[in-house]
Amino acid sequence: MSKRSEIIDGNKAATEKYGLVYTEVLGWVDLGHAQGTDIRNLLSQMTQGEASEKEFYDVRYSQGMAGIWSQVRSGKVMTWRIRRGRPYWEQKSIALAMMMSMARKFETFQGSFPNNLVTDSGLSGEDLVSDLLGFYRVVSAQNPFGMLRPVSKEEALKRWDYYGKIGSWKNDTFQPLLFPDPKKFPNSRPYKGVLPPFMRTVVPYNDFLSGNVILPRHNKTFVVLGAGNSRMGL
Amino acid sequence: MKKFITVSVVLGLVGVALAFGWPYIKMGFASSAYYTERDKPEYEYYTPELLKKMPRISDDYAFEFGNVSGPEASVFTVRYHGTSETRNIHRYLVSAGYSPQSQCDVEAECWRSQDSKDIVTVIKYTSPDSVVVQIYRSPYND
Repeated sequence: MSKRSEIIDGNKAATEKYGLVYTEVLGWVDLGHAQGTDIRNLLSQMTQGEASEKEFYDVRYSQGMAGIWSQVRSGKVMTWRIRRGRPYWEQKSIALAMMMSMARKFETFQGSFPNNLVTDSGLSGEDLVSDLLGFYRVVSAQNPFGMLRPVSKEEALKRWDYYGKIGSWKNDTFQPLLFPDPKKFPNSRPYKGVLPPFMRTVVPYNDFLSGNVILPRHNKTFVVLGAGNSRMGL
Repeated sequence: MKKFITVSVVLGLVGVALAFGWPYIKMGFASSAYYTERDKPEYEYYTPELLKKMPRISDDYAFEFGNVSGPEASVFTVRYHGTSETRNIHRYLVSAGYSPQSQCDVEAECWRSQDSKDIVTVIKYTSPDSVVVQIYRSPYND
């Protein structure tokens, strides 16, 4: 759930790991979502699987939320089975497909009862596009902010104050939601933008009939109590 | 009558527990918090030991906590204003078992320790001068 107090100056986007910046290309970016740590973990599971002797290996990906010093964690987890021998370009494509399908599931989970009592974050305008930016920061552009044109804190606050909190602008796609400068374009409304070319280079995997990637029959929801358990999804 | 009294007492106790515990429950589920060392409940609740012991390299400093849902993570921050001198911070991180990393996924210095999966970043800003120390804790960290 993004708050007004989390807005930081755009020139800090490449250095900080938390905060909200407004960019002219992607709209609002939640830096916490855009770190790509989850993707790095997923790709390293694939590297390990490819280095093994097994014909198939499993990769696990989860998204979650935590409270009270991580004593309570809940979220969604899924495991895909992959036939060894996938080239790196295909590994990236599988990772993207996993992240995209999980992010949608998680945001819907977050927007449903009882999670919606504590957060208005479910499919908030900036979440999915920030997750996608996290993916590309790992696979192609570590510091993409020069291409995204982040604005100053004052400019970002101006948009927040004019359009209201972003949690109320829902976006269930991975496309940017842009908020035009209210001074230059009075009476305008947010509109869907186009992803920059560097964020369109990997196609999410969809060749599920090949037998190289096997989807689970069920996706699991997890709730964990106790900080001792930091394993993902368990 | 006896049952009524028991139920009332139990409800009363639950009410009192909730009234006292509510600020902590609220802090526990907050997505972010901005506070100083003078805000005792927040300082005690959110601040990890490493940041509590971080040298105060300026008199003007403040803390932040961020809870990321989705690609799950907690981010703990201390921000010092009016200085860009990081020598004491480096010295402290070394004494706490951290060492500088050759690679960092943000435009800052990354430090890691063998005892923890946390990633500590030290950021130096100029005009205006400030120094930021950030701890990134995530179940995805290697």
